[in-house]
Amino acid sequence: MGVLEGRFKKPNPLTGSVDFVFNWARRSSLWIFAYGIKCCAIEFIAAANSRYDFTRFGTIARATPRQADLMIVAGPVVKKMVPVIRTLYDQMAEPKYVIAMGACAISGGLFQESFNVVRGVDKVIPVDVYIPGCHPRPEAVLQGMLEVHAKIKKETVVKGGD
Amino acid sequence: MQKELMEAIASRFNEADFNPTGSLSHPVLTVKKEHLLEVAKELKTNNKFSFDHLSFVTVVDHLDRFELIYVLNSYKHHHSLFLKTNLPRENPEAPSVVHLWETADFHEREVYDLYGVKFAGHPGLKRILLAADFPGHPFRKDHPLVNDEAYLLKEGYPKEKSD
Amino acid sequence: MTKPKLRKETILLNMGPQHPSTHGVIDFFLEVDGEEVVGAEVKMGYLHRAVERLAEFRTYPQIFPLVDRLDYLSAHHSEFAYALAVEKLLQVDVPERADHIRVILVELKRIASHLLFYGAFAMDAGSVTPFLYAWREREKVMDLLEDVCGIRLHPNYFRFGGVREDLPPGFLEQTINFVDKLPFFLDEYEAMLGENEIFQVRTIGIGKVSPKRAINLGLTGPYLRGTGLKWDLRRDEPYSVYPKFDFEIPTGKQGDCFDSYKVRIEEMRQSGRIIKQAIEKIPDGPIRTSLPKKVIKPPKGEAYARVESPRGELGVYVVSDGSARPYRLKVRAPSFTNVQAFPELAKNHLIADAVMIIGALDPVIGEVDR
Repeated sequence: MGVLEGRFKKPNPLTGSVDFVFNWARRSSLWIFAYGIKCCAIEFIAAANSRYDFTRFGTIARATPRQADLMIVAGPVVKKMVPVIRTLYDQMAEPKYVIAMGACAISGGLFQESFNVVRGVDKVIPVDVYIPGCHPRPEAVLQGMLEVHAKIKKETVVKGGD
Repeated sequence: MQKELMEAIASRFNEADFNPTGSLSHPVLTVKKEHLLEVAKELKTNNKFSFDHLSFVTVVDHLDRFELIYVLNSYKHHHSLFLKTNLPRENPEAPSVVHLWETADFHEREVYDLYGVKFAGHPGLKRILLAADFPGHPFRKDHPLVNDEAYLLKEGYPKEKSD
Repeated sequence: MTKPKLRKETILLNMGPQHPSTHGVIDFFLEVDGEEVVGAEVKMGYLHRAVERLAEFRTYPQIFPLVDRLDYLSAHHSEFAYALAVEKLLQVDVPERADHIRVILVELKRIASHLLFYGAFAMDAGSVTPFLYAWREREKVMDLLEDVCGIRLHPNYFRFGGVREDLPPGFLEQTINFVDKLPFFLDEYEAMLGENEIFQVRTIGIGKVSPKRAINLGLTGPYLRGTGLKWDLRRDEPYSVYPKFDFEIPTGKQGDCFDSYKVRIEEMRQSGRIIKQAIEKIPDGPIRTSLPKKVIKPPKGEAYARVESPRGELGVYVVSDGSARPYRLKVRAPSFTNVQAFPELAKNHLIADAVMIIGALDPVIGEVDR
């Protein structure tokens, strides 16, 4: 990837095939770093279980950020947690993606007015996909993961692309 | 059993302090801060009361005073009691009951963290729920409910994707 | 020649706030000598949303969603305690049908919470299969609760004087169906985990505590019953319609992790019994006492109500000053005090045993930090 990155200014059969293969590989085995803080974590775990299985998408929940590609932040971010989330995000290796799940992670949710809650995890780390709801159903979590897949499909090594 | 409790308390402690219908769920015993430790010891060790379970410790901020509340229960006699004392709002201090009920440890730390009440004799009084550098004691009525983003994100983390 | 003396020192280890075995964002700060824990400290506050302070700016019915999200695994219990406390202030009675509905939902939620405990406890010990099995039943309970409340986790269903709306048609038959099959599944879970030799070695004798010490530390709930003390708020300080039902209170012997696990499995059986009796005896009638005014303004006063949640004594203390917003709301969360016992229980155990003790205490961090 490093050899071809940004080398061509326009798409051509070489970059097309490389894009196809790498994007397919990346999205078919997105390993999740489940950073469940609160109630949305329970729905995330339900999405991992036998009824709404998400392992059929090639994902597995890993305990450590070093082995993960996708971080799901499920819950509100509190002042004491801000440096911890930033450290965890920095420990993930590129390419990495972040899903903000639930109203608390998107904007502070029900606890917006509290003096201790940061209004949205995107003030601390960059977020790719937002899953609204309080709490979202497990099917919504699966839909969010498919949105990340769609985002990965559009990536390219052409110069100027992402 | 509640009735026997009320009779026992009324006979043991000063009538003026004891209010059997002070709250809608429990009888209330109000004491002065100086008598708090000995009353608490009596309530725990005397066999007629034997209050061995402390549910929680909390403070209600009436605007002219702090009201420190202990909710006590007894496994043996199946009765419960509110034990209250009043503290001044400037430099509120109270004796700690950790040597009687060890569960008071975290509860008193929480009261210190959120209201600023210092407990004398507590083995390690420090903040428990809020960050160590939080300015003030936010559950007091004169502390406004304000979401200060500059303080919350003080470490100044950038929003862009790092490289 | 004399052997050189080895210099030893202890290591300080941060187990948290992000750790797969802690049940949420909490930091168990351990001091280890090799693999053995010699000291511990619990650092919390990573989820403190100041719900009690927020509640002073909300009207009484608006607090139901806030209280739901404290202990999110037994939200119906939190709502129950809050509704009981404010009903004491308002001095209003609950019709019998509403009481039966409340008890059915609360016991269903207790089964769901204990099933999650079972799955998570097995995962802490290292076995993943019981986790998937337990959630199979939990999904059935979630379906039943969703039929009634409209959402899986946060019901917002209890109201002062009753419940929000009546049961949907077919709910009672489906619940009886589920409760009839429950003992079969519990036998399966017992055979998978409780009779497993490795699990028994991992849990028997770990985290022992005597009843007297447990009471002093403030432990409540299944862990306290595991020490041998037969105390359950549903039996000893009954509320709602619990006096009508016939159920047993399981206890343990030593107060270790295995007893905590056994007590919870037994409690699930007893919850099934209670649900069946509640459904058989449910009367027809109104589901809500209509309150005299639309805006709820309880008279001046204070009240404390406590219920038996799957983790222990859950209480809500409300102070009212006559206006539409509470003057002070305090939630007595069982996990806050249960977690306090961790440094003492984990002393002189290995790190792996400390993980099992956390699992047996079953804390929910939403209510530890509030």
